[in-house]
Amino acid sequence: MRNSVKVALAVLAFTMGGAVVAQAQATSGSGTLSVSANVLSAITVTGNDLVFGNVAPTQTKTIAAANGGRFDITASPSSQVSVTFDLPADLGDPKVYVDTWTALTNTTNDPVTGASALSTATAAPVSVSATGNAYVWLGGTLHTAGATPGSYSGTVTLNLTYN
Amino acid sequence: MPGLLLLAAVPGRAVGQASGQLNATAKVLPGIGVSSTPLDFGTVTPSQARTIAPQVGGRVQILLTKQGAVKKGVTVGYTLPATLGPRLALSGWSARRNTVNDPATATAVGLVAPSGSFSALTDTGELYLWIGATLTTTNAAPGSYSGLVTLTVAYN
Repeated sequence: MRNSVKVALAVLAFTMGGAVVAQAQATSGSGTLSVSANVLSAITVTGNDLVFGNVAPTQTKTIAAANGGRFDITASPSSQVSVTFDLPADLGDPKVYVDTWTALTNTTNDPVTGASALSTATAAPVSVSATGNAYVWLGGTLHTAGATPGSYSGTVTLNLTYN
Repeated sequence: MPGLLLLAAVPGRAVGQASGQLNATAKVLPGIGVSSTPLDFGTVTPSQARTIAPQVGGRVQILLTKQGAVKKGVTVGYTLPATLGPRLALSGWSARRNTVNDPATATAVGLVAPSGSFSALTDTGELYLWIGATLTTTNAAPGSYSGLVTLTVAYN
């Protein structure tokens, strides 16, 4: 904080009853107020698909988060972001649906060592590394119930905001 | 008959020399002190608008001599920065003032960018000013930015 004070002196002189009175009065001052902000890096995120692979028309198949899809995040170093998921109920057909989602996060690209569980139901904090990286893995349980053979897909959206 | 001779003299100016004294005095009053705490917008994203209300914004403390402040009040002049840097625009300046350190009971002060002034009285010898504004970033480059609000205070 830089403050500078400048003082100007005004001298008033007058005569009264044989006296000369001089009054030196500080009449002004000045200062500054600092205004500051820290602009963070824009958050970027790219996705790597969660692939359930081949399934029978009626089957349940679980892909653990550690083996699932992965979001690669870049943000301001050592910051924290809050993430929420927009999760599809099915993959385009109610007979091909996902009813359980799981997630992990880590500051390094390692879903095992140092990774921690992440809620997919509510806003959850994700820490960003000193180099500006964070990772989120997503798994789920897919069910097919008399599904028609074919390829199905849905979209998972990861929403991120700085805390 | 004796004659009388009246002699009268009226001097046109003082005759002789004399000496006298007068007093020369001076009274130096304390200077006006101005100190402040920053208006900090904290962390913002490259494109974001963030408003800091004056009650929680930067604070300026002005210390005055009671005599001067009570009798005549002061005029506070200000100069406001338009930006904190490229694509970091400042707008919506607002302020509150009080004679005690309490922003909750302070009175609103209209600020006009880029500069202006307002008058105030204080019976406490102190004047507090809280300042807020809106920072709008538009694809701003990451980093730390700062600017200065300049204040001048003068007795009326």
